[in-house]
Amino acid sequence: MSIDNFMILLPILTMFTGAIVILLASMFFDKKLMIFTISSFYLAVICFAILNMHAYDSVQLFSNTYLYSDFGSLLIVFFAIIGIVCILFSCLYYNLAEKQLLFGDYAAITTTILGSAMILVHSIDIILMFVALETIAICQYVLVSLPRTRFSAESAIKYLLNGAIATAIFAYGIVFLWGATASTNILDIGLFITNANDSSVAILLFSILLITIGIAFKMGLIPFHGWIPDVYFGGPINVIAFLSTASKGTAFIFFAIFAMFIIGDKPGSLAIWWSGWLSLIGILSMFLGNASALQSTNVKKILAFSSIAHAGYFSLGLVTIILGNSNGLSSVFLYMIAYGCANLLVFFVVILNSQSNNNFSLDSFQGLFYRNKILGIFLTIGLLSLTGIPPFAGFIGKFYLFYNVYNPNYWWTWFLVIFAVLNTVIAAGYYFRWIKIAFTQSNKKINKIHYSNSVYALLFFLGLFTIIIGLYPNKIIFYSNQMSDFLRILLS
Amino acid sequence: MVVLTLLIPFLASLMISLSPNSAKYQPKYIALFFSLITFLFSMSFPFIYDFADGAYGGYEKFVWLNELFPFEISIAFGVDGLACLLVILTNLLAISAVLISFNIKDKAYYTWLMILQGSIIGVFVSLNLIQFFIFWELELLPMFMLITFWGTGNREYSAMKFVLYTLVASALILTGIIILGYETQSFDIIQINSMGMLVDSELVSFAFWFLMIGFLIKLPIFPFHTWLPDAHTDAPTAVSVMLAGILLKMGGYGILKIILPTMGFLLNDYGLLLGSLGAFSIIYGAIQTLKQSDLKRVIAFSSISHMGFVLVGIASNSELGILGASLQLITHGLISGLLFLGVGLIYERTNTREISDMSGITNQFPKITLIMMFAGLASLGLPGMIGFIAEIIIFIGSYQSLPFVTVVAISGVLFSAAYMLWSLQRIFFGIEKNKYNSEDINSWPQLVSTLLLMFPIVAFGIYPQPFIAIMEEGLNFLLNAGAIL
Repeated sequence: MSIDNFMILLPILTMFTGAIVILLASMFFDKKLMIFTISSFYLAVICFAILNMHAYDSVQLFSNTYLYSDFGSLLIVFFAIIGIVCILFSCLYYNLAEKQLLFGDYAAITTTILGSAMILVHSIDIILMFVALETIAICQYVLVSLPRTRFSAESAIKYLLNGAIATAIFAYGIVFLWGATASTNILDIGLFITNANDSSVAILLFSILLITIGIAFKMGLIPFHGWIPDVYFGGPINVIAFLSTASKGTAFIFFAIFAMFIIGDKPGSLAIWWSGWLSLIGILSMFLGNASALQSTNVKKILAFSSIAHAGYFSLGLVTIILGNSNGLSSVFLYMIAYGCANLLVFFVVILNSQSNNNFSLDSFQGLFYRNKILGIFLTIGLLSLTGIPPFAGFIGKFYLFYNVYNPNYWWTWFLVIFAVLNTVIAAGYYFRWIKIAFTQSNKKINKIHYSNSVYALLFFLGLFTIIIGLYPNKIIFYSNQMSDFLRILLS
Repeated sequence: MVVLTLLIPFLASLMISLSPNSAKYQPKYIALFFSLITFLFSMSFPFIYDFADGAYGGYEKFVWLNELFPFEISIAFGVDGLACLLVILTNLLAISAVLISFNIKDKAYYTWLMILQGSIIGVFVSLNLIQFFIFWELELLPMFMLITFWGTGNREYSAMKFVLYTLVASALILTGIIILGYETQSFDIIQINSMGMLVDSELVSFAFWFLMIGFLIKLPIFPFHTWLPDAHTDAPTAVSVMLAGILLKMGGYGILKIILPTMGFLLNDYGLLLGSLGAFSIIYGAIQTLKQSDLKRVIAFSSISHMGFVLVGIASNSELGILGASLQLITHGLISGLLFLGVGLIYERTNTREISDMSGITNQFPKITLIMMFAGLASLGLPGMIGFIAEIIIFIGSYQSLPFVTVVAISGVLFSAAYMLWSLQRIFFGIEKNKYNSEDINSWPQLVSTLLLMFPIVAFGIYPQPFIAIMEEGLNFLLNAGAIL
């Protein structure tokens, strides 16, 4: 391994070293020292990734299993930021709930997941992909069962059993893919598929179907969503905040890159079938997710169903990639960032609001604005961004996604746009109801609540990010377009 | 100047929300001060800008998104004659709205009111479709908050209904905008308008209908109108004024500014359909008013009826018809604003909006009676007042291409005279039923807020030439695009 290779891998190596150090340190260090250690590791990762972005061009490493690119570095930065925000917030959460012992475990496992996610988005070999995906999945099962209560144990078991089936299906899919194309390298597979004749399409279709199901499970798309409401309801909320943002985002971006390699920019009959399934699943997810969320009165359930609905929007983004739109990857990435920030913002407010009484009903939000103005405002920003109201990031993410979903070569993509746009209206029903409740003054005596400045700083960071991305998303799009251009050159 | 006019209300909302809680800095005075400034700024537009030949005044352009789309997206501001008049109307009504709500002391109320004003100005001065849409959506939140928290009656239901209807409209408009973007490879309104008509295709007629239905929901026209009476009934007075006065005009403005210059030729095919819809809306609204017992609902349905004239004018696709429709946007803004001010004043004193409870209150409130009579007569199109001018121009314009529809629409004038006079008679005259122990208008804010709207109604009713001249110049972009036959 040359020094250059080492430098390229340094962010990821730092993540895994960090995971081990954090786990060991949690036995000896007190809270302040822990925060310092964790922050310095994540800061190092971000610095390394940014340095790499300027120092290296795209290159394939390790017998063509790992593809370094600027876009990958950007993803590393994104994951690291999400990770540090989640961990710092959980630190406060555990402090509030007096379960300090668990904080080290949580931080270490989260770091491992993010490290694996960073490998996953760089991998161009299906074996490496599988290993990274499984590392993430197993860590997630542990994470859900972390508080060792009855509910979380039940959730974790459900998650594990469902996840095992999904993994088996995914593995079955990649075996068929290997069988059909005689290669584990995705670039080779992509080339094979581009030149494939009609006789071999059937088996490819079958393998792609299995892989799609496997990943659709991880993304929580209907009808593979059964675990989401249960896990969200039973799992510890800070873990759910992380799961619904970082690991979902990983699954999406992985699937987007995977699809891009497989299809290239010449969509054939395989692409039409594939996009057909995905559109169907996406439409189902959006519609049923939003409809179920409308009926829920528990915020955890609302967030669970809204995450299913958002997965539906994402899958439309994947459809655009599969149909060969060169801006597809950028739109998925932009939407992921917009969704991630807004979702975390909402989750954090939910955690803060419910930490004292563990009450997650919608009524517990009544008069939130009058109890704590800052929480009320940030909840509103988060929910409006999730709805897709300008000037927040959610709007520009949705607009860019919908604009790209339409593909002049395929007339039926129109229906996807119309359907997606109308679904945002349904979604507005429950988001606005929530906002209204937060602004409704309750008859009871108001107990003003206060939090430390560090909590506000985190919320402020996310809120600011939501607005900045909403107003000026140029740089992000620039990098992700660079990635897709690069891939196109690689494939042709 | 235009950008400044747009920014001041947002600045004001920020200042109000951050102002200290003391008697010295009452939010109403801050709001009044800033709305006066925006009004003065916008009043200067006709004098400092030259709108001849569809030119834009105060044009500013900033590059915004250059990576997202295959083409560059800029933020562009500017007003032409049409937008200029609408911005002035917005600011005039905003002053009235602030004055009429002088007994409300909440900071949040004025904050939302200023944001509402700012976002509406944003709709009219935006020269980019995405930017237009952003302001279009932004107006939703203040309306939702104002109706939910300062409304009366079944306000939460009404606010939600308003939001959902508007969001459906936005969804359709967004889809239409995306198609337009694909067809023209641009989101710049000036650039799109200068391209002339799009080539006819299935996709373009889809876009036409998406945009048209989206704007018709906002206007609102018959099958899509049900949100309006509810929203009006439960909204506070100031919000009713803004809603009837300007929010409805956004729909008409969208049709004029976005649909006609690009897809106006489709009016050859669908003009009769849309015109009939407009005429039906006129009659339907008028008949509905006769059935209502709630005063605010009467005026809400009369708004639906009057907005039907706008659609008839536009659907005729003739120069005069469209001119009349755009004039009607302004005149109805002034008149319905005044009507709702009157209703608010009555409600404040009698605490009821039931017409049957009022009967014969003219003895107690002579000044309010005068205002309402004035507004009612203007609303039914009495010559010498501004409403008459707009309606007569619409009828002259639309008679050529849509004779039958025009005849039906003219009968709507008869109806409007009937319901307006009948309602006024039942409210103010007749046997005195209840004695209310409150006085007639006695504070300056209430008097000024009504006088502000009464003055232009008479002034331009008698001498409409400057007003029509600006509007004619403002509609030149349609002639340039070849939209008007």
